[in-house]
Amino acid sequence: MRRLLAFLFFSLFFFLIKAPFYGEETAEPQIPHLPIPSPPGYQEEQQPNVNGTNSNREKEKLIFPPAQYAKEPLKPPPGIIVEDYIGHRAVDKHGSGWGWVKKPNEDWKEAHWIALKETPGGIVAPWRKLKKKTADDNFEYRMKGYIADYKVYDPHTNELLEVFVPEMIEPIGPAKPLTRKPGPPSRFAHIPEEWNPRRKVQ
Amino acid sequence: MVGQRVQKLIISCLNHLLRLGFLFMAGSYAFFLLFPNAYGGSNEDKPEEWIVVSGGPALRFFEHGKADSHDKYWGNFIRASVARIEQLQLSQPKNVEISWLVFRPAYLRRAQEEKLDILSQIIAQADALGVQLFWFDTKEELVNYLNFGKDRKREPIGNFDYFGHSNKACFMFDYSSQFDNLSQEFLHEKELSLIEKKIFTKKATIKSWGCHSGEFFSQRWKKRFGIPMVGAVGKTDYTSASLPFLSKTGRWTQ
Repeated sequence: MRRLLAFLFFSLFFFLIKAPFYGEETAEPQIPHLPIPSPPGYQEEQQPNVNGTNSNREKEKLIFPPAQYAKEPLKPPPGIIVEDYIGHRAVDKHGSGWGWVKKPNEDWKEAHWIALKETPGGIVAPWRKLKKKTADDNFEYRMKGYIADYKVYDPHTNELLEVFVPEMIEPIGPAKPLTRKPGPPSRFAHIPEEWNPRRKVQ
Repeated sequence: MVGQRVQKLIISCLNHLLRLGFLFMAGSYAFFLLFPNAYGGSNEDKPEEWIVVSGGPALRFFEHGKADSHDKYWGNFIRASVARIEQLQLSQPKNVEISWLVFRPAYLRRAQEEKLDILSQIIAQADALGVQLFWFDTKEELVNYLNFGKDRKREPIGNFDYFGHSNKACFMFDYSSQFDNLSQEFLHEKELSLIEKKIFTKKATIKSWGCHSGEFFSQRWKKRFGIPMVGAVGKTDYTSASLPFLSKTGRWTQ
């Protein structure tokens, strides 16, 4: 009997000590760590990856794409400079444009519908870090870069798109959808598009 | 008396016929000397250039994981171009030279992605075939070669084949190579006016082996140049390791 009691006490003691090792919560953060090099100076500007307070579970689940920075400063063609922009990702069901970009002091009415210049191994469309093309629909980004002096052809819509070359993309967060429909102005203006793939720099 | 008169009449008629015949033969001889290619005469003595153009493959970075993923093999358009050049060489007259134009940047990018020396492989193919290889990096370079690569009055283009990505309105030399689903270097039907009208022979054979060209591009080509371009209605499939074949519901048209 004593042996049985001793065994039961020992078992209880062992369970109390070792219990946390079974069914322990994962130590992995919600977002896998993505090793994207950040140049010094940008560290302070980085946004947290997960939005939020503990009070709102939905916000806790909201996954932000990581910030991305070009390995070297861009060298735009003569007459074009690298500037700050705000980007609004908008999924276009018909074509392959990325979304809208505008300068910070401009209204969204003045925004450009653009295709994003991606560099494998460098800056890519933020949705690629989230694995799903629509994952960042209506997200807004702080961006740095320039609008290129050429346009690209979208074979699915037979349209020419302006190109944004990014040097930096930082997520700001989700935003309300814009009142503008996704797509270049020529799609909605009902006027013949000026067919000139090489843009003239003003 | 009557018999003699009839005999003289017959002889004079024959004389007239002989003179007319002689004049006709002399006239014909002079005409063919002046216009040797009249009435579809052969161009055997006139030099021609036969051109094969290869567009570039997509990057796997952009195409990986898509339901309709393009260019799993980098050499689809190269392999098909080689098959076409071999076919052309079987009927190549002495006065014809074959030129192969390849869009270089897309192969460079794919070579970096796959860590392969693709350009050397293409050069080796051209050397093995014994044809001239010309790289082009932009649409302007291609158009410039077509217009002025040779003196087109002396050496017009007698054959033109295109292997690469296309839709019904456009040849795309770098589809999904620089931009996902998009093309930076392309030749749209609205830009056909960049190509001079009279650089082709009247009987030139023109064919696009890309998808959908027969649905619109071929008609615009005929309107611009007056000579037909054979193109596909529907998709073309490059998996055969030779010339591409039509999809099940496709057909060739011009």
